[in-house]
Amino acid sequence: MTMAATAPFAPGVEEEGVAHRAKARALPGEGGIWLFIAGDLSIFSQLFLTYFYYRAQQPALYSAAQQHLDQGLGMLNTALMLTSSLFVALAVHAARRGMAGWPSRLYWLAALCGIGFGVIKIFEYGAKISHGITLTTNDMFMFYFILTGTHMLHVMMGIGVLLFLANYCRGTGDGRFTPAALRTIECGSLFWHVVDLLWIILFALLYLIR
Amino acid sequence: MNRLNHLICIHSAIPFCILLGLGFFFIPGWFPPISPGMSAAETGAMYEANRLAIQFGMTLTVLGSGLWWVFSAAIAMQMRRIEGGDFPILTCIQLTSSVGNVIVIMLAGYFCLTAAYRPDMPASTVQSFTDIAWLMNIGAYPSTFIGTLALGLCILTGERGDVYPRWLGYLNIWYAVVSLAGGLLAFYHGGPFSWNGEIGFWLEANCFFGWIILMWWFSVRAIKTWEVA
Repeated sequence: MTMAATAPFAPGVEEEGVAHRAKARALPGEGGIWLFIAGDLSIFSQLFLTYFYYRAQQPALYSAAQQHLDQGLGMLNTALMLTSSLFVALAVHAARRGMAGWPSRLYWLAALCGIGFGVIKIFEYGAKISHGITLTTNDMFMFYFILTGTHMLHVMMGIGVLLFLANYCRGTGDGRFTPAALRTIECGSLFWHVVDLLWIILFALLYLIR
Repeated sequence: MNRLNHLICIHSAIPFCILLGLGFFFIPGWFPPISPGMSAAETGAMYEANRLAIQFGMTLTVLGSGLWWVFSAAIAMQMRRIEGGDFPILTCIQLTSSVGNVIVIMLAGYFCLTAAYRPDMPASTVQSFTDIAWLMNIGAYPSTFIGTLALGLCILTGERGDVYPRWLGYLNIWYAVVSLAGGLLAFYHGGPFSWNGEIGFWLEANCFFGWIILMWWFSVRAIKTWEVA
C-alpha cells in the first residue's frame, strides 16, 4: 500500500504498485482469523518464553527430565500433523478448483490424522502417569503437560473444525463454492495449519532441544 | 428503547473495575498478588496486620461484584440484536454465565471477610478461606469460558454484522481459550501457572481487564449508533 502511495509518476511503476496491492488482498480467510492466529501465537510465545526463563534457572533438572520424553512417539505425531496439514492444503486447493467430493474426503482424512495424534498422545500421557510422572512431578513435567495439553486442546478444537468442514463441503453437488463459503473453508483450514505449526515448535522445544 | 439506560449499564464496567481493583488488590495490599506458597502462620499474621484494610477492601469487592450483572446485561442486549429471531440462545448463555462471574467475585469477597471476621480464628482456617477466595477469583474460568465463547459465536454467526466488528468475535473465542489457564491454579504453590505467576495471574488479569475495556468501548459505540425503527 505504501509502495503505491510513494511510487513516482511513472505509469509502469504505478501499475506494479497496484498489482502488488492486489496480491496482498489475496490473503486467505478474513481479517479476524489472522487476529485470532496472532493472538494464539502470542500466547504460545509467552508460554515458550516462560519455559526458557524457568529452564535457564535449573538446566540440569530439565535436561534430565527431558530424557524421559519419547522421541519416537513425538516423531510419529509430527508425521501425522504434517500429513494432516497436507490433506487440509489439498482440500482447500480442491475446493478452489471446484473438484466435487474431494474437499470433504480430504478433510475426513485430515481429521483422522488428528484423531490418530490424539490417540498417541493418550498412550504417551498414560505411560508417563503409570511411571508416576504427572504435572506436579517437577517444573519440566509441569511445562511438558501444560504445553502439550494446551496444544491437545487446540487439536480437539481443530478436529471439530475439520469435521465441520468435511460436512460443510458435502452440500454442493457441482463442487462450486461461493466466495463467502471459500472464506469459511480457508479460515477453518488456517486454524489447523496453526495447530500443526505449534506442534512443530513444541516438538523441537521439548523433545529435541535437550 | 431508552438509550441512556443502556449507556449507564455499559458504563458500569468502570466502577466495577475500580471497585474490584481497589477492593480485592490495592486496599488489602494484595497487589502484586500474595504468594500461594505462604505458610498458615504468615497468612494469619498478614490478617493480623491488615485486618481493617482487608475488611474494607472486601466490602468494596462484594459491592462491585453486582455491577458485572449490569454490564453483562448491556452486552446481552447487543447480542440480542445480533442474534435476532425468537430464540436467542447464545444471548441466554452469555447472560446466565455472567451470574457465575458475579458469584465467584462476590463469594471470594465474603470468604476473605469471614477470614478477617474473628481475630481468634486459627491461622490454618484463615489460610483455607484465603485459598478458596484466590482460587475462585483468579481461577474464575468456567463462566468466563462459556460466556465469551457464546459472545464470540454470536458475533461470528449472527444475523447482523454492524453491531460489533467481526474480529471482536474471534478475539472473544481466543480469550475463552486463554481463560482456561485458570484451571491450573489449584495444582501449584508457585511458578508461572500459580495464582501469582506469569501466566496464572499476569496474563489472565491483563486479558480480563483488556477484554472489559474492549467490550465496553465497542458496546458504547454499538449503543450510540443503534437505530430503532
